[in-house]
Amino acid sequence: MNYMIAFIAGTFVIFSMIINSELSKKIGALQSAFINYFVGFILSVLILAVFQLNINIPFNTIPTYAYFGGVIGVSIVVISNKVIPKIPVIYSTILIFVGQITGGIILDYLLNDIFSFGKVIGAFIILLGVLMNLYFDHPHQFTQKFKKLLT
Amino acid sequence: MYKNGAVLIGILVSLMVSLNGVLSSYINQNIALTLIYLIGLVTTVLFLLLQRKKLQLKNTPLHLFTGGVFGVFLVLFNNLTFRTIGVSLTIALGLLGQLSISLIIDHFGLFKRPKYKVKKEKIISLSLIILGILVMNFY
Repeated sequence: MNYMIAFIAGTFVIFSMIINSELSKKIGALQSAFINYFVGFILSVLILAVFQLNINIPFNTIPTYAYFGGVIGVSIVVISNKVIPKIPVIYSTILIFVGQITGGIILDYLLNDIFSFGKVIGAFIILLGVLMNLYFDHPHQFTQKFKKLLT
Repeated sequence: MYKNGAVLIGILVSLMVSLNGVLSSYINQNIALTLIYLIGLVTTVLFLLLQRKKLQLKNTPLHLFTGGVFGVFLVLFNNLTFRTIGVSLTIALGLLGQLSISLIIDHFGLFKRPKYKVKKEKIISLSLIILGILVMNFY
């Protein structure tokens, strides 16, 4: 079940990317992020009103760093806006994945106390799959660009 | 320089998923969701003010405002799976979801996009990704 939820979350990434890139073209990236958080905030308040009337937040037990997810989310929008248009799609696909999975394995170790060499080996197999996938899209272009990325 | 920036984006995504996950493990799911969105909203307002950006919404079609709805469920789903299967598997499975839906959108030309028929070779690359996920899960 959880595997399915994580898979569906991935499809939602694409849906929101398609809509947001359209919106960014019209009103700007940061403005589009604002609309996203605004709509999301209203929706989350509605969900809260329906399911959770008793709001009790134990502020002193929550570590301060846990509040920074939203700040990082906005920073990602700002940085992406500067970086992604400057490099080929092949680079951003590969490099963002490498950053995500490396960060994910390290954070799993730090926060969830999970680590295994299987995770590292699995990540390399996935990376190989991602590279092949990009190769099948544009074989010639991929070979050229990939050589450049490694040098 | 920009290449490092792309790696940084990836690391920040994993960090965001983790921090939101940690927050929602201390409090109720729905309250965590509201807090995450409130903090994000305040941050975007600060950035908009700092960069002196203006918000001009005239003639923007209504359906373009629905991205945030997917976003809410995305955060909710990530918070659920962070605690049960961890960050790295959440990311790996999410990647598979992204690639699969992109293939479907391209194949049928959904959302008024140009059609690109799925190449048969893609079975090999997607199978490799699934194999990688299985190895991450079982070893």
